[in-house]
Amino acid sequence: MRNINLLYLLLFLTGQILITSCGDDDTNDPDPTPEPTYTVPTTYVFTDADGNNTVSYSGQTARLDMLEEITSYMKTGNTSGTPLDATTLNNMFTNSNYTWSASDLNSTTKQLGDRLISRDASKYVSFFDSIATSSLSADTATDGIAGVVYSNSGTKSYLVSANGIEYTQIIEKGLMGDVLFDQMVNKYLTEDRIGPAVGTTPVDAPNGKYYSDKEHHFDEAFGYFGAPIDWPTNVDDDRFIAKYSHTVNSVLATDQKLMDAYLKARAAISNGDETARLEAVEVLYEQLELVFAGAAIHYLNLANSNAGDPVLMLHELSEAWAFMGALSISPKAKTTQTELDAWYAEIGTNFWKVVDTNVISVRNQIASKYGISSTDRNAL
Amino acid sequence: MHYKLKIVGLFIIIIGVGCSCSSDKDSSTPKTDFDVSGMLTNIADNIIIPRYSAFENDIDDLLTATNTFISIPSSTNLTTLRSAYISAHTSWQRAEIFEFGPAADLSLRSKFNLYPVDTALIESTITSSNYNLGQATYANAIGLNSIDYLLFGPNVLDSSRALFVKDLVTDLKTRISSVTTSWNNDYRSSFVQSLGTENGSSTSNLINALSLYTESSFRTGKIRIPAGIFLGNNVDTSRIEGHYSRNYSVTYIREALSGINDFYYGISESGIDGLGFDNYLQALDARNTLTGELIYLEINTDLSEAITAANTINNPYANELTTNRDAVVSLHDEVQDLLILFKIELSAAVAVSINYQDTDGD
Repeated sequence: MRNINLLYLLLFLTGQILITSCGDDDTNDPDPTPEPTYTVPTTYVFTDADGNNTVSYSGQTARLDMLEEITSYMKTGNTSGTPLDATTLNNMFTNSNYTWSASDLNSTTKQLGDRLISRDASKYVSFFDSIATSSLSADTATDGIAGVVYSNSGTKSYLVSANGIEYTQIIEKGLMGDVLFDQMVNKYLTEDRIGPAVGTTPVDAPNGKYYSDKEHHFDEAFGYFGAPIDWPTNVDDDRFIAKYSHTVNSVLATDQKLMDAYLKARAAISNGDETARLEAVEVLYEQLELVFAGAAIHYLNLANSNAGDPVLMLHELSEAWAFMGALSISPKAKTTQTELDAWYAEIGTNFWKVVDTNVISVRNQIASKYGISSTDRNAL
Repeated sequence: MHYKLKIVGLFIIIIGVGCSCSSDKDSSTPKTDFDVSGMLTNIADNIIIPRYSAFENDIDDLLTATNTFISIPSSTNLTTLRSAYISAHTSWQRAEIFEFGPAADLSLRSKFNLYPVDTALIESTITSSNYNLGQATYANAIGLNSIDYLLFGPNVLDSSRALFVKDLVTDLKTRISSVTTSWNNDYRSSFVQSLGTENGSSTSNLINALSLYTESSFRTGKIRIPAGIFLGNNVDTSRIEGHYSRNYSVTYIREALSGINDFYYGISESGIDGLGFDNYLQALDARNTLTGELIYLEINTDLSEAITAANTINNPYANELTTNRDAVVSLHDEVQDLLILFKIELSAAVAVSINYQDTDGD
C-alpha cells in the first residue's frame, strides 16, 4: 500500500516538473538564472503550504454567466416577431431589477455594466436601444430595413439593423473585449494589481480566504479568460476568450502558450518569483491580443467567402467588427485607435454595402500588424 | 522490487508525454518517399494555372464579343456573344475547384457562379444609375448566371442591358486576372514549396478544396437542389446552373466532373498524366478503414462510375429532371460515394484535416 502511494507521488511530481520544461526555451541563456525551486502545476489548482485552496474568481464566473444569459436573450430576437426590450437588457447589464434564470446570479451584486475601463458604457446602452428597435420590425431585413434575415439555405436567421449590423454580435463580442479583456490588460495584469507592492499574505485565513491580494488579483484575470482549470486538455467547457483562442489555435497555437503563461505567472506570484511573473504576463498580453486579431481575421475570411450569401456575410462581419474593437484596448496594444478607426472606415458602417476587396484589405492589414503569415492568415 | 520497475517504466512514459507538448502545429506528414513537391508543381503548372488562363482567355473573348455587340447589335453579333459566354461558363467548370489563396481572396466561387440569380435585383440595378457590383447587396445579380439571364432571358438585349453585361464581364475579368497574376508570380512559388499537411499547407488546401467543391458546388448545387433530393423530391428547374440558356447545364456537369477527375489524377490540360493524388495514395499504400481496400482503386472505380452516370443524362437538364430523374439520382449517389472517399479516406491517408465545415455555434 505504501509503495503504491509512493508511485502516485512520483507520478504527480514528475508531471509537474516536466511541465516547467515545456515553457520558453531558454536553455541557451549564457548566464542562466537559477531554476526556481517551486513547481508549476499542470492545471489551475493552487494551494498554500497547508493544502488550502487559494484560488478564487467567483465574481468573474458570475459576469461570464451574465454575458451568456444576455446573449441567449438577444438571440431570441433571431426569430421574427420576438421583440427585445432595451430596459431588460439594461437591467441585465447593470444587474438590477432582473431575475436571472441562472438562479445563483440572483444573489450576487456583481455586474458587467460598471466594469468598462477603456470604453464608454453608454455605447452599450445605445446598442441595446438599436437591437430593441430592430426587433420590432416585422419585415425581412434588406438594405435600409431592419429585421430578421435568412441565409440562402434558410437554416440560419439573424436580427440585423437597417444597416445590416447584427447587434447581438456587436454586444456579446464587444463586451468580451470591453470588459473581459479590458479588465485583464488594464487592471488585473497591471503592476498596480500584481506588482511588487501588492500584498502577499493571506487576506483572511480564519474566514477561508487563504489567498493573498496579489494571488487573488491574478485569479480574477484568469477568471475573465473563460477556461476550465484543465484547459486546453479539456476544451468542452471553455467560453468567450478561451473558446476563441481554441478557434484560432490550429493556426496560431495560442492555447498552450496562454495556459502555460497563466500557470507560470500564478505559481511565480505565489513563490515571489518576479522575473518569471513578468515574463509570463508579457506572454499573456501578446497572446490574448493575438486571439482577438486571429478571431477578427477568421470572421473576415468567412465574411469574404460568404459574399454570395449576404446574410451569413452580415453575421460574420458583425463578429469581425466586434473582435477588432479589442485591438486598441491594451496598454501594450499593437494597434492604435487611429489605425482601428481607419480599418472601420474602410469597411464602412452599412454592412449591406461592404465591398469585398475592402474586407480583404482590412484583413491583410490586421495580419500584417500581428505578424501573421499569408498562409496562416488564409487558413484562419 | 517489481514496484520499482513499474515506477521507472512510468517515469519513462511520463517523459515521453511531457515532451510532446512542445509541438505547436500538427504537421505529421505521412512517411513515404512520394514526391509531394513534384505533385504540387504538376498541379500548379499543368492544371491550376492553365485552367485559370483558359478561363481568362474566354473572358477576354467574351468582353470583345460584348463590345462588338454594343457597337453593332446585330443578330450575328448576338450569336457570337452568346457562344463566347457559353465557352466561358464551360471553362469555369474546370477552374472553380481551387477556391483557396488568391481565388478565396477574390471570392471567385460566389462572385462567378451563384444561382439562382435575383432577376428583380438585376432589373432594378440596370435602371439605377449608380451601383458598385463589389457590394454584398449585389451578390445575386452578378456573375455568369446573371449574364445567362441577360443573354437568354425573356427580355431583348437592348443597349442598357448590354452595357450592364459589359459591367458584369468586366467584374469577372478584374477578378480572374488578379488571380492569374498572383499564381503566375509569388503565389505559385509559395504553393509548390509548401510541403506539409497542416492547415494552410498546399496539400491541405487542395484536399479541402476538392472535398468542398465536390460536396457543395457539385453534389448539392448541381444535383441535389434542382433534383430535390432530400428536399421532398421536389424538382426545381429554376435552380439549375445556366437556367436560361437551358441547353448547357448537363455540359457543365460533365465538364465539372472531368475537372475533378483530371485534377485527382494529375492529368494536365493537354492530357498528360502526371503526379496526382492517385499516385500519392498508391505510394502510401493507403487502405479504406472500413472496407480494407486500397483507396486509390476505390476512387478510380467511383470516378469512372460517376462519369458513366453523368453520360446517361442529356441536355436540357430541366427535361431530364422530369423525365429521367432516376438517372440523376444515380449520379447523385455515385458522387456521394466519391465525396466520402475524398473527404474521409483521402484526407485521413494524407493526414489533412477537413477544415471547412461551419463550426460557428452562433
